[in-house]
Amino acid sequence: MTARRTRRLSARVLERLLIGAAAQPDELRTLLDAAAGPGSTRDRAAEAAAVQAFIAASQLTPLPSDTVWPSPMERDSLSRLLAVKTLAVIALIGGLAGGVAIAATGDGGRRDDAPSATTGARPELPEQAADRASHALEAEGSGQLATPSSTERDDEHGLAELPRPQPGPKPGLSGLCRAGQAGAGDNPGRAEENPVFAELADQSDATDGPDNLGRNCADRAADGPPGRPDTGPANPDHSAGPPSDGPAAERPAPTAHAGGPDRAADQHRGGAARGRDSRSSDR
Amino acid sequence: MVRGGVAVRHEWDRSEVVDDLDEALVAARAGGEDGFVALYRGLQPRMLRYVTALVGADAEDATAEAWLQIARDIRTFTGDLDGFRGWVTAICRNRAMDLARARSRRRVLPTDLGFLAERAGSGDTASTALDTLSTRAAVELIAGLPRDQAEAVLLRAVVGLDAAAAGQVLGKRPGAVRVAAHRGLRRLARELTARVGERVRPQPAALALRDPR
Repeated sequence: MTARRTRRLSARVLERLLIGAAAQPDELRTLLDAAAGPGSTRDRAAEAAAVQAFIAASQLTPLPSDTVWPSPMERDSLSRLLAVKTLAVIALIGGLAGGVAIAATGDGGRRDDAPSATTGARPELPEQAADRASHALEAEGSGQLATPSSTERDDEHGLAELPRPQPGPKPGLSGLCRAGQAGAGDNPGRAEENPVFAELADQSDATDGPDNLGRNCADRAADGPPGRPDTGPANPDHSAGPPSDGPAAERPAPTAHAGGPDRAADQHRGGAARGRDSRSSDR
Repeated sequence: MVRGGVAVRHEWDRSEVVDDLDEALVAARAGGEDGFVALYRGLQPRMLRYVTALVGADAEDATAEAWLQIARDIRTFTGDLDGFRGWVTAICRNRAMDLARARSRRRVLPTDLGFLAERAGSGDTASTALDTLSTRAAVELIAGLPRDQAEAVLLRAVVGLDAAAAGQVLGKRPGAVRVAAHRGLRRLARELTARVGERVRPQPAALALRDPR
């Protein structure tokens, strides 16, 4: 009999029992009604504590209606300020990314100064070579190299007190040689035709003739001072030392002292200073 | 003949409770103490029975802690009364689970349910023993079910949640809650049928702390 009664309890009947809509079967209905019966005062033993907590929370927390919202004008100002800040952050990130890209390009060109560069493993555009050569000449006029790489590296590693390399007899010509070699690549004649290398060509004319630009530069490289500024690994990707993390303001800018503010500014804008200087200024 | 159980059920008519507690919820969220008291008195007895099936005599402590939290956070609640009922149930259940873990492996004795109101049915001269079934005995019977079935039956038939809301409290699908509740009711029906003609004796509440995890 029990099995028959249980089988009669369909899902629909049970669901109606659960929501209190079915009066059958009697036993289940009675049981559920008793379980859901009204409470007594004994069930509310913690009422006083709960009410006290509610009152305390009311005193501590302002009501939702008490919340002060900014007026529409204030909201506009806040949103405008937020937009300006967002744009500033985006511009800063973009500037940093661009500076890193330019710095990588500049350092990559300097990597060609290594002896392996004579094989033309890393070609450089002639325009870049001419650019670098122009700024090397400008620095030569001021009596110092345009790219004080050695000094900067020393400062970065805390070695600024070491004696600086003595300037060579014609340091600007050394830079011109590097630029010319890098720009020449497989076609040395193109570099020699460039008016930027006219001075170097004049030097060559005086000694070995106009076709021996490369040889002249090789001789200069061999006779150059041991503390040659640009021979170290300048590209952070290939550098043995850690990349510079210091702010640009802490680094000395020798060119600014040597050639005056205007000249220094030009060199910072120029391609010869792109490598390290542009990276510093971006920071 | 108006049977005692049905009469008791009418006192808890859902529409009446919802109407009153809807206003109480609005008032309590606005900081009204009376509204909060009405909510407490309307929900606490059902919560206590449900939590009793989980942790036995620790149900009073668990619900007391739960209401402290509810008193603090009620203004952050957004929703209607059904959502509020589910929210309160979830808090009570969480506090009960916390207490069960803190006092783990302490099994509940049948006498642990003695704090529940011994509210007998109105039919004191009932023709069957079920007519005199008290609230405590009814909760004990339901608590004797496997835990998932007991929780499903209590949440739906005592607390008043629908299958979806009960599923949210239990972390189950509504269909799973429905199946568990139906199985629990069928099992209760078999037990009750077997007891017809004799006085219903409360069974040990083996559900409590059976496996709180």
